[in-house]
Amino acid sequence: MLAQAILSLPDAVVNDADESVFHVGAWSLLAEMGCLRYFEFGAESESVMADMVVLGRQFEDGGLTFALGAQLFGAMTLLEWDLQPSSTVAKVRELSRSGMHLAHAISEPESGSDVFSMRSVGVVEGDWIHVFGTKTYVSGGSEAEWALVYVMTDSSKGAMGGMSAILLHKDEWTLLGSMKKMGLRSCSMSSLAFDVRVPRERVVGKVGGGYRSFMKAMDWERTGLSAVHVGTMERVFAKTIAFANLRHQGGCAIAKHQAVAFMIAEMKVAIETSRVLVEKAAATLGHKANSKERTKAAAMAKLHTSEHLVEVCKKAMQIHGGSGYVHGVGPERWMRDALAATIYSGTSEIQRKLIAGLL
Amino acid sequence: MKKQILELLTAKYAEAYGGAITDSTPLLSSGLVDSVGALDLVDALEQMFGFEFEPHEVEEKNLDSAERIAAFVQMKIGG
Repeated sequence: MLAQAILSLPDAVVNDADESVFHVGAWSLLAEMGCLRYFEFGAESESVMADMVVLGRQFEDGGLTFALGAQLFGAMTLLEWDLQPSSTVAKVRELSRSGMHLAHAISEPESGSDVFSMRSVGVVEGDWIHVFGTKTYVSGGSEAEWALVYVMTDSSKGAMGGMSAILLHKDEWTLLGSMKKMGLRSCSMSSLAFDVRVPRERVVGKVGGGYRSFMKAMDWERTGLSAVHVGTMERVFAKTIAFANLRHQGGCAIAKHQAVAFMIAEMKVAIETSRVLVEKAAATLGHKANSKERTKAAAMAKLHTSEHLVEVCKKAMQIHGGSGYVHGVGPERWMRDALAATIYSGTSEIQRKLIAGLL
Repeated sequence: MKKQILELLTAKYAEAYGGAITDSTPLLSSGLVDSVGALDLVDALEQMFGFEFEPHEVEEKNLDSAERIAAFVQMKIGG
């Protein structure tokens, strides 16, 4: 849908030199192109995921593509699915479609991303709701104007029926500092603390309706980030092939050496098997009312693509030899970025648990 | 309606339960159906009876037994 526009972005935009800062210019360009408006346009899930592959292939900045996936699929989906949005929900939805940063705050210091052990609370007081708690590992928390925050509005019901998603403005939380990360450095990660009374219309959907929407959003996020992984692997693969053809050892390009050729073959197989799982998950997202198949397909895609992304980057580093270990050449950064993939949006262990439980 | 619900629950869970699913067999509170399985059950009920749960209606109170499901479905479709 937007693939051609993404492919036409200039090199200066897609090949950033500094991974430590958020690339506002690139983010704004993507927003202007409509990369945050897929749901408004009613785009087919397969088409959206095809664009995510192109984004992953084009952008060297893994932090940027991760930030886009997290906002578009993890946070914005709930606002897009709210059929009777309040004026604030509608306003924040439009702002986030235009490129405003909307963070997704779910993990907590004590319970991680286990929503059944969530401690942040929302007490409904008539037309108001008093929310208090702490969220951590909030991607994009430092840039966010607004955040979609999950709280327990009825702990007696647990997450099912007792969890709600609510919008908070940056003036309503305290930023507890930004964490220094191994990779994906351009996308900030922060902890937020909040204790504030806000109008009840800040609830996205209805009070108690957070669980089903959250699970569906996670399926979209896992599939979207898996598509980015496929594109990232394609980029790493292309650059590694180019290196292996250029670098000569023993009278020929190292790509001709069987040991290197075998690694290249395995990288290619990893990419193609990942693509198949992402395409299946993308097609499943588009089908109404089959959460079992949707969740299973998304978990399989996330598990497979993230584990193979790490393996592909490891092989790329091995093929590059000493230069691959040097900061600034490529593989060292690819490896650092890739290692986050088996952790975010549900660790590989969580994906395995989901898959096994749904068989 | 309850007969249809019991048939659905039997097809889905009788084997794991190791016995006949009755009107009052606890589903979620017993751990027979987990949180992800609950969403699968919700999908099946929506398809069977042609209505949609609102997200906040996906809770144990409405899903924990054939009896509770029947009462909820009846409230939704008025059947």
